[in-house]
Amino acid sequence: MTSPVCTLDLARMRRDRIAKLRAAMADVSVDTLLLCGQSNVSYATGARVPASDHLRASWWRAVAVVTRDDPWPHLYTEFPEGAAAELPDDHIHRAVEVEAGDGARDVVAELPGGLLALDDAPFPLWQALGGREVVDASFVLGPAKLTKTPDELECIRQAQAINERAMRTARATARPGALATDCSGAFLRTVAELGATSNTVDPVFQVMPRSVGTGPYSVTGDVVFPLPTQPRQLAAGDVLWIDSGINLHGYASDFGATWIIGNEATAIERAQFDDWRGIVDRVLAVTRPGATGADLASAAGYRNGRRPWLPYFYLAHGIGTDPAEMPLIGTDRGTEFDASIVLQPGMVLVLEPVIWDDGAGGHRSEEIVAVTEDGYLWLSSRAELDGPKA
Amino acid sequence: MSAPGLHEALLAMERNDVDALVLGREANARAVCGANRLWLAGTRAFAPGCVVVRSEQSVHLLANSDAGFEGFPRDHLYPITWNPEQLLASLDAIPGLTEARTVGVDGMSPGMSALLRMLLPHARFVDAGPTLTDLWSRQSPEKVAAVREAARVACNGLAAMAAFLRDGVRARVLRGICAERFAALAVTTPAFEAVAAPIDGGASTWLPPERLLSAGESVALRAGALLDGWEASLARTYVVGEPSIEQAPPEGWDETLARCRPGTFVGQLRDLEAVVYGVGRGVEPYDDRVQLRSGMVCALELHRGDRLHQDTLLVTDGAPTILTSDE
Repeated sequence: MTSPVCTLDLARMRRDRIAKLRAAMADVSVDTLLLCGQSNVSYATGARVPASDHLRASWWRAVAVVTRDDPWPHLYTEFPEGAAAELPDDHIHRAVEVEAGDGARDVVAELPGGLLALDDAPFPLWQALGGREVVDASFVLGPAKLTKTPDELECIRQAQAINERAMRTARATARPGALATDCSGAFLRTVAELGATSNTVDPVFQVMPRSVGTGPYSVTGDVVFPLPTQPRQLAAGDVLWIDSGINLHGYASDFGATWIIGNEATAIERAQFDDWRGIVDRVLAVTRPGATGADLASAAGYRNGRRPWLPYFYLAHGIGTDPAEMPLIGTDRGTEFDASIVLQPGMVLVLEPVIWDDGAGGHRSEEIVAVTEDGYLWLSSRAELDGPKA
Repeated sequence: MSAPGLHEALLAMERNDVDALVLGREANARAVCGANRLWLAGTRAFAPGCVVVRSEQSVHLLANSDAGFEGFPRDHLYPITWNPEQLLASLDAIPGLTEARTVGVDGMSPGMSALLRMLLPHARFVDAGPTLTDLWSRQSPEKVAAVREAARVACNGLAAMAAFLRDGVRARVLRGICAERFAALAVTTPAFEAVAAPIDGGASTWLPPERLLSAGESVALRAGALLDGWEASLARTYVVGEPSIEQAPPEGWDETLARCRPGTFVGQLRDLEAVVYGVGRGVEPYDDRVQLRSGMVCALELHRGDRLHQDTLLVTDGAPTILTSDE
C-alpha cells in the first residue's frame, strides 16, 4: 500500500495546470494553444468525454483553446456535463466539428491572431489553417506536463491503487482451466465498481512463450509484448505477463506483473524476479533530482550482455494524462537522448525492466515512483512475484 | 498473401485518385488490412501506423508481430520506434511510397507534417476522408455478417445490465457488468464503455452522475461491442424496479425507422431529430448529404421525452433489418 501524497483537490489541480500551461506559452512566445488530442484537452480543461474506440473518440472529440491573457480555457464539447465545475459558463461552448471542412473553418475563423500552437488535428482542420504559421504544441505541453503537482501525483496514486485492487480479483480468476479473457472480465467489472473514471487499454493477460522462437512471430527478434488477450485456456505452469491501465479524474495508471498459473514459482522464476527487483533497486538508488536518464540506464546495467528491458520500449516512462509520456528513458533514441533528461522533483517514473532468458522465459513487472527533493516516493505498491493476491 | 479489405481500399484509392494512404486511426487501419492491434481508448496523436501504396498494391503496418492477424505479409510489418529517424527510415523503405504524388492522411500535426515533408517533399497531402467514405459505402456481406456477430455480443451485454438494474445500484457498476459479460463471450474491447444514465431533463445520456439510481426512474442503457474490430451498439430505456421493465421506443420511432431505406438522405433523418451514423470497423461518420443505399449498415437513435432507443440496422430494398434485435 502507498500513502497519500496530499488531500486531493481537483479544482486546485486544474488551476495549477492552467497556470503551468500559460507560463509555458509565455516561455516560447505562443499566444494561442489549440488542442484536439483528448488527453491534452483533459489536461487543459479537466473535461471528460465518454471512453470509446479511437474513431468514435475522434468524432466526439472535445476541443480546447487556451490564450495567454485569459485565466480560463475555452472548451468546445458535445458533453458539457463533463466540463469542470469551476469553468465559467461563457467558456463552455457547443461542440465544433473539426472533423469536417465547414466546422474546421469556423474554428479557425474564431482563433485570435499571434503565434498558434497545435497538437493533433483532424486533416480538415489542418487544411483550414492553410498557410498560417503553426508550431507543435509539444513545445508548450512538454514542459508543463513534465513535472506533476502533489494533486496530480495523488491522482496517479489513487488510479494505481484501483488498478492494483482490481488485479487482486483478476488474479483469483487466473486458475488452470479458466480463460485468459475471464481475467479481463473480472478486472473490468472490478475497476468500474471501485470508481475508475474509465478503462484505457484492453487489459493484457498474455501467456508467454519460453523462447522467442516458440512464441508469436517477432519483427525485431525480441520477445513480443503486449498482445491483445485471447480466450485461451490457462494451464498449470503457464506464465502470464499482465499490463493494464485505467483512468481516474483524467490520470492514467499502469500495472505490470508476472503470474504463474496453478503451480508455485520455480527456482528460475524466483531468480528472475530477484534479478528484476535488483535492477529496480539499483535504478532507485540513483533516482534523485539532477540524475540523468543515462545515469538510470547505466544503473540498470546489462544482463547477459543485453539491456534488461524490451529494446522497442524503455527502461522507464513518465505517466500523467497520457499513459506514456516524457521522460522516456532507454528508448531507441539512444544514450545522448537519455543524457539530456535531467530528473526534477515532480517527475514520475514507471519502471519496467524485463528479464528474458531465451528458453526459460522471463519476468516483467512495473513499479511507479515520483521524484522528490531528495529521492523518490512510491505511487505504486512494490511488485510481488505472482501478485498481488487476494 | 493479401490483407482483408486491401483490395477494396485500392479500388477506392483509384476512384479518388489517391496514390498512397498514411493512416493513424485504428479503425482506418482495420478497414484497409484487417489488423487487430492492442485496443486503446480515445484519440491518439496522428502517426503513420499504416501505409497503403496503390502502385505496389501493398499495405504496410506498424506492428512488432502479426499475432492475431496471421496471413498479413510479415515483410510488410515495421517495428515500434520512439526515434523519428528510425520511423523515417522504415517509411522510406516502403516500396513505391516516396514516388506517391497524392497522399491521403487521416490527421496531421505540425511535427508530423515536417517529418512527412522530409520523406515526401513533392507529394500533395489530401484528406483521406473521401477515400474512406467511399470504402465504407460499398456493400459487403462480410461486414454485415461481422456486425451481426458484434450485435449479438452488444445485446447480450445490455441484457446483463438490465438484469442488474435495480433500486440503489450505481451507474458505473452496470458498466462493469456489461464489460464482464462481453468478456464471458471472449470480447474484451468495447465500441464505447457501457452506459446506464438516468433520463432526467437535459442531462446527458452518455456521462451518468455518480449517484444511485432509484426505483421508478427511467434509465437509458447503452452497450457497444467491438468484436474482431467490428462494431455494433444499441440503447434501450428501462424503468427501474424489481424487475426493471423495458420501455417501448419513443413516439416516432417506427416512422423514423421506416425512412431508413434506399434513397433517403441522412440529413432528412436528422431533421426528424434522429442520430445517424455508419457502423463497420468502428464509427463511420456520415454527413447530411449521404444517401442511404441497400447494404449499408448504420446506427439509428431517437430520444424523445423519457424514452431513448438505438439500434444497428442493415438498409435493404424493403424495411431495414434490425441487427441488434432482442430475439
